[in-house]
Amino acid sequence: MTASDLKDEPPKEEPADGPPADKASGVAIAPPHEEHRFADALLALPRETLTLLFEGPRYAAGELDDYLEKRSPNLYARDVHSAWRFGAIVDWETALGPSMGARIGRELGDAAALDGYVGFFGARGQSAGAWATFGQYTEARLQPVLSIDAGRELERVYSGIGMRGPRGEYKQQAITASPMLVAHAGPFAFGTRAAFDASRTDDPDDALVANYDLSQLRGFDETERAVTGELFTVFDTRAPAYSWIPKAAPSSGWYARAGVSYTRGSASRTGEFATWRGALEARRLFDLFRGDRVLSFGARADAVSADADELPFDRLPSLGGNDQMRAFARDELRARSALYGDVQYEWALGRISRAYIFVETGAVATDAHVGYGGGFRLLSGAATSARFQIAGSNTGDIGFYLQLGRL
Amino acid sequence: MRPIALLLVVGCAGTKQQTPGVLRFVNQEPVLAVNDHKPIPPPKKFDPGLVEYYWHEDIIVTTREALTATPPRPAANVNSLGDVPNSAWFVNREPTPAQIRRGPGGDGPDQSEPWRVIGVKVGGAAIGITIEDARHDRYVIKFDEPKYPEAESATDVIVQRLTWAMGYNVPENNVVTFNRDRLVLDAKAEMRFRTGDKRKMTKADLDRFLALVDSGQGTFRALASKLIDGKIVGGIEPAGVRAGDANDRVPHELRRDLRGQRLLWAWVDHVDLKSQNSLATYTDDHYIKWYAIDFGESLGIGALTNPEPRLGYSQSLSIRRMLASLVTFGLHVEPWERDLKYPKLRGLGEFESTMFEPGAWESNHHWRPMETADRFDEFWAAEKLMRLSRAHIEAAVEAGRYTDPRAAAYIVQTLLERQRKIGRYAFSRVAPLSRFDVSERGTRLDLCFDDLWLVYGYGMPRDTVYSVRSFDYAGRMLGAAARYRASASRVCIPNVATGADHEAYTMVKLDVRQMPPMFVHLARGPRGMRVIGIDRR
Repeated sequence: MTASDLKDEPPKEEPADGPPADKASGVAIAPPHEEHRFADALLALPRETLTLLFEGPRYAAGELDDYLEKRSPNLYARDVHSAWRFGAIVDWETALGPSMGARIGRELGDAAALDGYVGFFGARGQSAGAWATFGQYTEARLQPVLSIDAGRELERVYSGIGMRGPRGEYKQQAITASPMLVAHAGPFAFGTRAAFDASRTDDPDDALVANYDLSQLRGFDETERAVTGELFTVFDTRAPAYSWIPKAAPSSGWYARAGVSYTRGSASRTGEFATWRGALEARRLFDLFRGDRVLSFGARADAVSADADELPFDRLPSLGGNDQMRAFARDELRARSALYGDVQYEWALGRISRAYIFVETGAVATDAHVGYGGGFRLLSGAATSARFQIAGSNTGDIGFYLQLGRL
Repeated sequence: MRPIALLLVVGCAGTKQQTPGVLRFVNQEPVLAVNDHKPIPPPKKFDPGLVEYYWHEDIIVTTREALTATPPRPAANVNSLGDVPNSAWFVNREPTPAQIRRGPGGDGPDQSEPWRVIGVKVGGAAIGITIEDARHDRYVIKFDEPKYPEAESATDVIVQRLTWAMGYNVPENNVVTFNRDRLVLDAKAEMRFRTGDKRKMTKADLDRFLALVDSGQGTFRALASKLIDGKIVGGIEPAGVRAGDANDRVPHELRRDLRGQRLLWAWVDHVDLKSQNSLATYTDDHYIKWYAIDFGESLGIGALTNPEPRLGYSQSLSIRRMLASLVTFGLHVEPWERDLKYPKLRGLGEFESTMFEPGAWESNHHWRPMETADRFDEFWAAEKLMRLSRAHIEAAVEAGRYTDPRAAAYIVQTLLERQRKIGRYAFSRVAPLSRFDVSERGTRLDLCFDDLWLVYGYGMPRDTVYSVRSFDYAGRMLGAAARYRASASRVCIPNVATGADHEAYTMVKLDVRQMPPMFVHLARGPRGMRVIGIDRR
């Protein structure tokens, strides 16, 4: 050690004697502290109640800590890649009430993944499904997907054609198997899909019986079998403007999808049916400021070549649900063709929370509607993990939607 | 800060007391050191997981505070002058620039022989291993991320030096560079987990860690942090005292040394505040010594690597900001959303001084002691912080060993500019009069002090007028009020009248620049009149 080092060495700091730490003030007479006992007493009930409510999640958080520690020793959650996936959802739609679902999935090396779900217990019925996604095998990034869905669902919707009528309920049992092959090339994706489905629709409620001649309604009280082939292409340049913005909230870009399909099938009571179907969808996002004030314009057109009365009613283009004509129940508006357009503005509340407002218009046949509303959503990576939405329409309908979790 | 509670107490507030009030000090010298190193039995560990910790601090405690009307109490570990006595937490030190450059310890691990890897860093997400050198000293080696070379190692050392210079306990940190062959796996190396589990460490473990930080250039640059002596018993509790520690008598949220850190952390933009970035060790002398550790996300590195430009400006969950954005439909623009340009130099983060506002600075998550800080805590901290000159700061930055001199120059300049803002902020909220000295002249006395506003050039003496009144022990005014104009930053008020009883107990009220007044309490000691207490309002 050099003389220079010794000079730079800080002086030794030894603990010194003195009074205890709380007796150092030298105060002989202290002024009173400011207290608001009455206000504190008033606030005690909500304060303690909320504290109790928060203690449960705190315990769960501790368990999560231990799990992450074990999964990624000393790197705390870094480099954690679980082969298993779990998802759960609770949602609440105005027309259907609450329902819930759960998903479990597993990656099989880099080559494939298997996922399965069960859900929609409650008023909406029951369904289950499984799908297999295979890896990216070629330079063109070919991605085969095989999915199978089966379920018995309650449809609490309008089941007529064209102009909107009274709401009613029926039940539908269906099973679908659908292999798909998608090739990705830059912002483009080209895909082909085949679907084999069998379904049966029955068990009408009083409203349907009173308002419709069910014997004349194709697709009702009969068993259908059909096969569909589809070709589609997708152009997607949507992306967040900055790396800190979640993928679930892209800032700008285009999304467009064009698809054409042909369906041929037979129904046990009303005979064979066949139709071409074309669907075109486009959305443009504009980054108004810093990537998280985003204005978007969207449009969709969907039409079948067959006349409306030549097809089972549940195979007609439709509007209504959580994402289009949101004041109406799922598929409430049906006709041979459906047109839809919206303008939406979404802005950030925090890094992973967004608020949005929208105006939308949609028409089936000649029956046009205008809707409006807004909502909040919480983002988790590329998905929306929670959403609250309320929508109204020019007909006085109100749609409410709550989603907690994701599948 | 407490919106609900505020509604309930609004209208109850009284006016600021302009008279001496009831506060009286014991006629004695101020306490310069406390005894918090009495031997205690081994204490309990405080080491919650990160998610649980954040949930508790950000949600539970924040909710409870929002629903509490009584404001936090003033600091409780101060002496009669408002200073913090030396303790196991804090030491009043004034190092030279050379001492800052050297830091509290040596120059890092011995380089004469390979380092034996004996384990991995416990806890946290940063990648680190534990080594033992030829001197049998043990170090945690924390690597720079390949994507951000020099960033965390330089930042950690710079902030460690400045934190130490301010008076806090820190580990001995240095920047090191080495080749892969300097590391050999010790036969007894093991992986220890926060949960208490452990297993043998393998070469595969070591390779996995190194693969994450290998830049492919053949050398590693890292921070070498010498293991602190004693047994680690977790981090600092954000509130309350350590169970079983009879020395820990002041709730942590009432410690001025912790509360005053708000300005230090704002200065260096240490956004990653949490219990896990502090350390309590049970020393060989059987008492707990408290440390600040892990500064690597300071100086804008956290905003760069996470990446989240809001860091330093907003907490992760800010209800107030969410509401502001909601009701303005996103038209409200936060400071960090403006188009700030940061120099793209090796080792630098998103660190700037133009937008920086000391009063608005926020850490990423709630850190209770900092949030209970009042303007008196901040004045105390600012006085210490402003004593660090350009030479001190340059010495600290030099220890960070940036390879690009432009990066070092930028950090020095930005720290100086932020420091200047901090001084202006803190010295404009409390009468910034300090270093009092009193001398008797017959029945009257001269009271001298530094006006820090003038010392640091925020104002001119010719524009500065002090209003002076004195009171006796009973609170009776002695003579008439007087006014004095400053002629320099060191001010002496002559002919101050003194009290006649209680050992000439006298309280001198000083008003300056329309700020709340302060009262200097004087009394006769063994060697004449002396300052026995300061009451800042």
